[in-house]
Amino acid sequence: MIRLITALLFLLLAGAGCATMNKQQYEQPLYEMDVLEQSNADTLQIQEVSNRELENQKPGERPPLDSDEAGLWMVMDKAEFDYKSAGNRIDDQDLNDYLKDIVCRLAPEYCGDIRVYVLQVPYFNASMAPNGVLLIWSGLLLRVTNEAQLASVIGHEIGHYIRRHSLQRLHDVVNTSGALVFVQLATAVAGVGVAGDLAYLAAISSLQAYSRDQEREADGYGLAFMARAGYEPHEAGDLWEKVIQEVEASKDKNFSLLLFDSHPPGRERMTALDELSDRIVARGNGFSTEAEAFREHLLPLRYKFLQDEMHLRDFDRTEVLLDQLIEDGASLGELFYFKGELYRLRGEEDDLNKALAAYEKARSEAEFPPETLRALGLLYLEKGESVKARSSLQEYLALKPDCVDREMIIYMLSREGQ
Amino acid sequence: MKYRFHLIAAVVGVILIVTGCAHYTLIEAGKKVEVGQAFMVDPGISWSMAKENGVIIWTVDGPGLQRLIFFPGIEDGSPLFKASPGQEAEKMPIFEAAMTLLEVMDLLEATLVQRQFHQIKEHNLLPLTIGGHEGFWVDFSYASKAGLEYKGFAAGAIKERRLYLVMYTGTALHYYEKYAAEAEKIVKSIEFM
Repeated sequence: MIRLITALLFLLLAGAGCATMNKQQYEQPLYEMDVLEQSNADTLQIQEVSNRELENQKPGERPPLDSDEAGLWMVMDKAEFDYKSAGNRIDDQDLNDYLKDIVCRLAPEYCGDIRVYVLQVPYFNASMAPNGVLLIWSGLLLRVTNEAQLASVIGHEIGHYIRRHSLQRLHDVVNTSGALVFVQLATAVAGVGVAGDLAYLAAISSLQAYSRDQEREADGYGLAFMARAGYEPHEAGDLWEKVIQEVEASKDKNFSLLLFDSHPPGRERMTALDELSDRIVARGNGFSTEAEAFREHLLPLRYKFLQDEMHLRDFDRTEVLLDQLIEDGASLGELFYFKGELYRLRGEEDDLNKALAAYEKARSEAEFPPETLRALGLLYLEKGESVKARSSLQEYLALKPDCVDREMIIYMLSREGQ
Repeated sequence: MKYRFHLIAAVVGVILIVTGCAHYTLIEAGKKVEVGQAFMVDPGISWSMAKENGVIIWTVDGPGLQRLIFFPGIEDGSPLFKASPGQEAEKMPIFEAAMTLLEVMDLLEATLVQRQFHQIKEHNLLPLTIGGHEGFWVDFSYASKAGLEYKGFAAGAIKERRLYLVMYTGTALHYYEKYAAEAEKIVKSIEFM
């Protein structure tokens, strides 16, 4: 609890330093990386707003051992040690290789410096530590629907890394609030926490809580990396639009807390990203979303991510998410099965009928999880329709002969027959 | 002398409160005992017993290494565990008396997720008669937040609209196996009160 309070305190302090909307913060990285051309007027404005006190992180660079930056790295090295053995680490080799490939496509010069860790946490988040640890939560992987959207988030995080935003924030916080707050937070991170603990992860995020101008700058880098690697830049704004829809439907304070306390207001961000994307696309062509590659690597894991999402019991938000995924159209049988699960678990008026309709819709798709038939069987049992129940459960056993509940279902069928 | 005893008791009490230690009592081997006014069981060996979050915990080597948890009659509309401090009560999955045994199994898994169990895998789900009532048995494995691997089993039955459940878990390395057979014998000895 102390760790969470400290984290929240840091968030408040970080938030207090927010600047007003600054379009140039978004644009500067795009000019710097020659993705967009700047006018003379732009140049003058950018010189006024730019804070280049710290040089960009160079490939392969490590901080001097007696520097404050080395202290930051030490705290995050401890966190990385925890991630390696965390109970909720997803060590699927194909997924980890795929994510690393995206990092290397976006920023080949930093490919050797950035390590990717995926944690099974069902909220939307990713973070980059100053020592090169890129942390991706499974909730993010559930929500992006193509590689370009994923690249927009990873590119944004690489932007924080290259601009050494953690160190910038350390200097800002120490200058405005004294070193004690930062020491408290670093102690919390280095203490007893482990990566499966949401409070611990919140503390880590807060240690890396950036100002809104830094977030804008990281957004600009995200777009610049995307454009340079040939990803369709409009996917960045599209992703944020979907996330805002979810936040508006959510009753879970963790969902928006982790997203928006330090980030620019969602609508501002969407507008800025869309306008810049228009300019990028007008200047070049051949941008792609890489939806097929994304589906090949991520769809095999989505069932588990959707199960985790259901456990959050934030049903109205999950309904928005499922509708977005259904609109995307990949593996509809799986999505309608989970829509049925949502209604069954929510249990509001008429939800059982809605669940039944969703399960039947799943069954009508070319592919659907065998669990759809189990769910249908149980629902028909509850409604007293024993013929349909028996037929669904028998079909389930035939489709998934090695299921863990086989003996129990055979027993239930034998009891139903008596 | 009496003053000294009170002083020691007070100091021990303060230490227990400050450190958050549970208060354990001995369950002696060899005679049947009542658990939570719900079951009579034969403990087989000696165990240490504590109460926490509405459940009863037995252990030999410490609850982080192995533990047998008794859920003594969960009422319709209640969660298996009371919400921990700071945990949102509405997120705890709820037992409903109309659930089938398969749905109870789903409830158990959803509850373990809320209790920060990771990588839960069920291995075997079987029908089982417990104390003369229709019930189930499931073997499972999971990892703690820090990545330590555990094994476990749960056995439960619904009687008079209440769920009676026993769950045994221990580290996959050594401590699960150490008393798994004893825990299984206890489940088989259950008599409902």
